[in-house]
Amino acid sequence: MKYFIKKLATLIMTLFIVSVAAFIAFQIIPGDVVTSILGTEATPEREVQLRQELGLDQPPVKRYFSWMVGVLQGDLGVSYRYSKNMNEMMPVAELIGDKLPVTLWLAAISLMLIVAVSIPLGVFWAKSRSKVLDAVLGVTTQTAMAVPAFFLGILVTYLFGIFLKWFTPGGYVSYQENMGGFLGYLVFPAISIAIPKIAMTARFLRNSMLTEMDADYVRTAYSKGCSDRRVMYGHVLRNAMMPVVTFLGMIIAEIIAGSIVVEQVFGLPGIGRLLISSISTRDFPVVQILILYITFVVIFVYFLVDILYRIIDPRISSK
Amino acid sequence: MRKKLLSYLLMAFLTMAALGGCAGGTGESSGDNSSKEPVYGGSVVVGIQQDVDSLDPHKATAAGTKEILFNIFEGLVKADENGNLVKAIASDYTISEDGLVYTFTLRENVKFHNGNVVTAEDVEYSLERASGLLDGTPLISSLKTLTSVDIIDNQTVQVTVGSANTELIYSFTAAIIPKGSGEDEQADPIGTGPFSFVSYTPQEGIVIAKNADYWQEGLPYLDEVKFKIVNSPDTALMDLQGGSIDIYPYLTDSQAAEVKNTGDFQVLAAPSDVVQALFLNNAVEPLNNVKVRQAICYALDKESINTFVAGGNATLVGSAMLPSLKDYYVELNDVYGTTANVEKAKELLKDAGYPDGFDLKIMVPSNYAFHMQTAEVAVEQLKAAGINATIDAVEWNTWLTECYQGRNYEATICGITCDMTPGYLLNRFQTESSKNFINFKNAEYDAAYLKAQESLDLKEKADYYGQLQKILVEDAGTAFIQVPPITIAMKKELGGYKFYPIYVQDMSTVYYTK
Amino acid sequence: MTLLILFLAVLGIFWTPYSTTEMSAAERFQAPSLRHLFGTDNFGRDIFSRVMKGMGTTVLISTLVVVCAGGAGILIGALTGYFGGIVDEIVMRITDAVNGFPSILLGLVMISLLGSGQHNLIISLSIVFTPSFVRIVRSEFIKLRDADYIKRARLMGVGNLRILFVHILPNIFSVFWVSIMIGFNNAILAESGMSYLGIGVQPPDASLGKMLSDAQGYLMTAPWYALAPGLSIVWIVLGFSLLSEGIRRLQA
Repeated sequence: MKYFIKKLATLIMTLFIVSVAAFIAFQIIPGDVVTSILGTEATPEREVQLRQELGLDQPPVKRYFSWMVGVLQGDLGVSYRYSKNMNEMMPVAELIGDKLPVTLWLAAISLMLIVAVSIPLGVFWAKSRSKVLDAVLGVTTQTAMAVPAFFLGILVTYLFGIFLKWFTPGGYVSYQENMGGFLGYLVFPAISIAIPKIAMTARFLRNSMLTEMDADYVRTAYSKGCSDRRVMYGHVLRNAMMPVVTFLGMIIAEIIAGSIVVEQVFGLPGIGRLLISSISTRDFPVVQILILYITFVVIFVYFLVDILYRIIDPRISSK
Repeated sequence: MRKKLLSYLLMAFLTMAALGGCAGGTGESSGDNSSKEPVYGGSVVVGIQQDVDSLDPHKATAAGTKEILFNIFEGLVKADENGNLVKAIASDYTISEDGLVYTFTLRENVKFHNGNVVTAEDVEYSLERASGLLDGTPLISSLKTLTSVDIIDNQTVQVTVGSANTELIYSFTAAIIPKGSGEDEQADPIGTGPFSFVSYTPQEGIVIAKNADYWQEGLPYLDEVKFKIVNSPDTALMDLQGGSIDIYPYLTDSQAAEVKNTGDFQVLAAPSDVVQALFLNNAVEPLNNVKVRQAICYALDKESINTFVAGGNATLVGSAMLPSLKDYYVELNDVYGTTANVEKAKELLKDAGYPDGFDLKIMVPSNYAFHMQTAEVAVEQLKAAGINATIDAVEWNTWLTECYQGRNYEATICGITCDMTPGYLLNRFQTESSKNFINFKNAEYDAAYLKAQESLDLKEKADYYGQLQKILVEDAGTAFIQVPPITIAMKKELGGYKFYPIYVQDMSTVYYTK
Repeated sequence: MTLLILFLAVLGIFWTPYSTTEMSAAERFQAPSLRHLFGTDNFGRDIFSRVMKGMGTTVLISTLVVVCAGGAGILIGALTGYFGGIVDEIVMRITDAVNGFPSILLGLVMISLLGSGQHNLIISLSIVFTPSFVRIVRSEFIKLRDADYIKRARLMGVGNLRILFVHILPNIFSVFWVSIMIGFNNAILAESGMSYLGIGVQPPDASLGKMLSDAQGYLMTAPWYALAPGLSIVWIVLGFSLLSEGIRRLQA
């Protein structure tokens, strides 16, 4: 229990550091949201008015605290940049709530692909005694890991989109409109995300399994007359999976935190793209919440990983 | 090698001249469908590059937003494809002799998208809101000069202005919106245009639907238009080929060549409303020396810039005026020539006391690939003349703050857009103008500009504008380069697309053919 | 393979077959040929020369980033992991914070503080990459801190610094080496991303990432333009990972 309270305290502390850092960053970088909204053609009077409307005429420290008080009361504020209709701005919660499912589904599909391919591949690889196969798989996975994300995205678009015409590049449909079409489209960006991760996970699993296979208990199991199958799946895989699961956790944290590049290449209106465009338009309320969200996800997943470590290796907690 | 290069340049030049000859209006097109029979109905997806900055027609400032809102909102008058004003919500108007009183007669039975008829109150409200008479905050700067808006009767509105200006009438293109809608928290954007607003999703786009009650008989043809934000200009081509967009108005030169090859699209081109230049900050060393600025003008090889970045389809200009504004445009390309004159440039630099050249940092907004590419070519050309130019690519917002507002830069490459009024491009070069980001300072220019503004005689006005263009070039305020082309790709089955001299996407005349 | 990269990259700094910046209208979009091994780009520049030059820039930036971030990672990770305590707590919160902080925003901050250019790109990327190294080094140190041979060394009166860098550090090398390679890969990719946003290498200088993003617009007309830098990145990363694999095998 004490452990959880401590973790919670550190989480809050980190979030606080991040929010202050982001706020300071926005004070430093050139260009502000008023310039971004008004561009080159607006009247000076309108500039003053807009500054007041957004509360930017207040001193920075006061602005930060009024923002924080709002967040603590559950009010995430409204976007500076995105309109809801003619006169109202889009509430940040609504804006992010709208984009989050895209990123979460993308993460889910990617994870399914990674698990579905990498685990059988890793097991098969570990079991295979063929030197040639080993070398081929080694080089293939190394290559898959070396392809830059946006290059891979472009290749996938070309192969599946332009040549095979399995999907329409840029033909994203919103999940509110057509769930089937939405998921069908997401498969291809998910493939781009999954390919290098599959390679990494498979390698990781293989190495982990090879280490386990040398362990004493495996020899014991064999000598007791257990079948090859039983040893493999009952013992080796189970033990080898633990580090792989933590590894997968980190991958998921990475994707949920926004796959900026893949979202950009495939035109997915997800968290990553929202973050990029909000930074460039200086939409502070949106950026601030997104950063908090990303930090939260990262820390939360590390926390889970930490717990897993403790389960695997109880020595860590006995300090 | 050199000879070959020259002959290619010559060829490029000739092609350009040939294209220039038939430019204007709709320009070059492959497989124009305008002769085929239009049918009603259907929906199209138009790819756009930027998100909408505001759904309020008076507050929207981005060109990328105005081009869409053009379909939803209308003013008392509106622009047509030839750059003329046509009557829209006003069926008629008169301007008093002294140019101070405008009287508008409203067209009968023009309906807002909510079904209400446009009344004199709505017009009064809209004009007062846009000009700042309502709450002291003018939203459209050219309307600041309005002193009162009065309702004469149900169909007549009278506007009084502080000072006469023959170009003010263009500002009455400002949108007319229902009275009170500017303050109503829940209001959807409501106008009188050929299409009504349906929905807007940040990062995805905006949907508009046919206005069945539109006052112009027979328009629009389409039932629905979706403006879809494309993820990046680079992938727009894939979106077109994949079929997720039907019309894309911002093709680059190489994309256009590619699209033509596929055969599924018609490619149309026309000059844009943007004047691209290597803007020089007249207030910093050594650019405050007119000889240095002239040397830069001589060093640029505008023809090869055109070939490299616009495939030879741009129109080269010498000053700040669009060639399409025929009554005002003065041909000034000869002053510094359209090819590089390195000897002359070096000579001028020597005279100015920089025989070994100098360092020049060119700030360029990195999101504009076209300007970035131009900068890459320009840097090489300046190097040939001994000017050690480097590129400082910055993010758009930084550019706005540092370069445009802060004037804290040496040189920049960007474009300035024009509206339909000729004075618009020239007014920013007055010494005191808030838009004079190049710090151009020339008393003669300021005096001529004032005279041009005061003049009520169009001929005289045109003369003054001609003078202004000449002063700007001879004093080498900035190195003007070209008016880039707009190139659109449109599905074969579509027709009726109209190019405007201003930046709009008029969807009301677009139709499917049988 | 890696040697060839290094050779080309180093050579690219001093000499290229053609000028990397000279443009030629006559030679735009030439397909690969003997004259231009990788063809030419939209300005008629020789892509092979630019790839050579770009490799140099990219490898240099990525190496420096990995060296800086790795060095900082070892130092911070070793100290915090070994000693623990309140400093560990604070440092870990800060690394968490940096983890969640968007690298683009950080890049923009660095630019406005220090001005744009390659050095600042290296600094911002190093900051971004440090936390992951810290985390790995720290967890290894925690693991080994209580290992029997370390306990024994401590009992024998070996100094803390000696234990840290002589007894523990060599043992985490194989784990660290892997993360260095992954970091190197990521650094190359991050460099291209930053350059794309105008935060990194400025044109007309070449970097592989910048070339790749420039080439995106010409994928159909000149596929070789994208393939050359794209495959070069794959090649570099692959080369270095195979190299690291080899080194590991030698050690084992």
